[in-house]
Amino acid sequence: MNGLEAVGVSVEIERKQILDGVSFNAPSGELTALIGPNGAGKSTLLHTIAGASVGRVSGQVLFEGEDLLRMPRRRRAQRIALVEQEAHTELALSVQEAVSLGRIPHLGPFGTETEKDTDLVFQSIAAAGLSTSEFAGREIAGLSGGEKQRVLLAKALAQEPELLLLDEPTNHLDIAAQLSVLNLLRRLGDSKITSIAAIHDLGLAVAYADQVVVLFSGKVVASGPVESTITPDLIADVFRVRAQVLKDPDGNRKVFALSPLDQD
Amino acid sequence: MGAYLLLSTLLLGSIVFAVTIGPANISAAEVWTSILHHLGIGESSLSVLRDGIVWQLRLPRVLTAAAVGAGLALAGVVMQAVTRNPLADPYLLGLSSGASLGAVAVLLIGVSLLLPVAAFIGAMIALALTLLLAGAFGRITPGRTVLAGIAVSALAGAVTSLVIFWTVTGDSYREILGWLLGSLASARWSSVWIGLAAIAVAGIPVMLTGRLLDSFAFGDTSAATLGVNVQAARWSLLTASAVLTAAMVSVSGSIGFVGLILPHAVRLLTGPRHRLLLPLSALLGASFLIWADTAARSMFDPRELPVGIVTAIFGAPVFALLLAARRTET
Repeated sequence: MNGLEAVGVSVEIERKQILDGVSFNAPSGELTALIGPNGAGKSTLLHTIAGASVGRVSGQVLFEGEDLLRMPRRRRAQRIALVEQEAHTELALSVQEAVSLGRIPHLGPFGTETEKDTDLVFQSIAAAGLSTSEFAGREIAGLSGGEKQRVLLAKALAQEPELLLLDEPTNHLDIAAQLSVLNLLRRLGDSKITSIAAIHDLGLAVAYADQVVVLFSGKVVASGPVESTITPDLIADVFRVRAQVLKDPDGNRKVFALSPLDQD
Repeated sequence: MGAYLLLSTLLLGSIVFAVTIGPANISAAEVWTSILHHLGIGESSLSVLRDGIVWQLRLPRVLTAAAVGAGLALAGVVMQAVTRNPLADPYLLGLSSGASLGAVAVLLIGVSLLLPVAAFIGAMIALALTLLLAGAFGRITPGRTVLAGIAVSALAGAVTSLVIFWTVTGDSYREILGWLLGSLASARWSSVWIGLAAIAVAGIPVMLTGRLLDSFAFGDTSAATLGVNVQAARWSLLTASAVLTAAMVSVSGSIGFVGLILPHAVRLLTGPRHRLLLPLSALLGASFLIWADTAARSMFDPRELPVGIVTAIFGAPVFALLLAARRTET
């Protein structure tokens, strides 16, 4: 149950309070969805956990009992990976070269890449759903948005993370690809990887995540197992939409029908 | 490994061959004899005059060109990596202009500092101003840094021009203009030592940062999640670039385009990863500037062109091609 525990995490960027006393728990081996409207602080929270915050951070982030905010950078990078929402490179990197960047925390500045590293890079490309024979040698600049997103995911997997953070991993994907990425994330749980994903689409979050953390204006307004936490009232409060619970015909998960709030 | 051998051979061959070129006809064998003699190996059969041409005039100039070419190419690779801008070069963040201003202050106003020290101070002030300006209105981003660099360059350039306008008279205009455009005509052994010292102090450490530069490929956040202390790394890399640029400007004036185009030429050979790119850019940059300078001093013999004109004639079209290639990408 340990997993990730955030205790009173506050972040201030350029004198603006972005996160205010955020506390939640993301259990080991489960997929926790981070939801909330735009500007709620989802990206900032993920960046802070990953050690890439640009602001003033206070509070504690424990992963399996160890304080991430005080952990040496390289050691943290060996355990935690972040898939950014949008990340571009100006370099003419091939997919294989880009994914092998994920080995940097393990290799250090001067270590030499071995066959094991190359194998891991190829496994990660395959695990992210790209055919290695087709993609390994291709240049990133020529890929579609969805393929680029998978390259970033593969780069993170090549870090062999125990904790995987994803910022809107389904953003540039069509619906089939969204579902395949989310299925992949659920399978990561089987290999004991804890993941936390900011997911824009409420329906997908409810359908795929085990746990949910609801952020609103930099504060956690609800968190816990998806089933008990996401209620029509909460959705109305946070997203300003009306939600009705429908029955899922072949499962036990909730399905919501969303409509605008009445204008009164 | 093959590329190392090829480019090292090219550099060594360039040094010897470039020394043979000039008004006095000197053979490669004579060059070797003279070099070995001065290193204490064997007897020199050359006349004092011919030995002087090799050892006192041509060799220091060729070696200075090699050091400057290597240093500028390295600074270019670093700037392109940490600003994530493929069009970045030592000019970009005001480094060259600041170094020129520092040097002009010594040459013309008589500020009593050693030339390389003044150039370094100028470069560091320009760098600090650039970063201050870039950060004045929020977080320092690569885009803002570049724009701030342009502003600082323009300011330093204007002050340099002002100093020249007020102080220089008659024939010295030509001299100082030649220096500003970049020239190796006054290179002596002291220039060689300054160039090599900068390579030793800043260049060689920079050559070992290949994987660090790689980790900036997808930006600061990505670098941070790969375990890099982004601010510290950026500052030390930019400072190393400032040391390299300042040392090179102090011996040769500001020679443009070497730092811009050499890294791109080498990428065609090595791909974009920095572990090979850094040392090979230094090697090819050294050979490139030797040949550019040889062309500058022999094309219109007995008159000399500032070598900066030669590198610009080469570099500007390449720069245009780079821009065109980027347009088709995005």
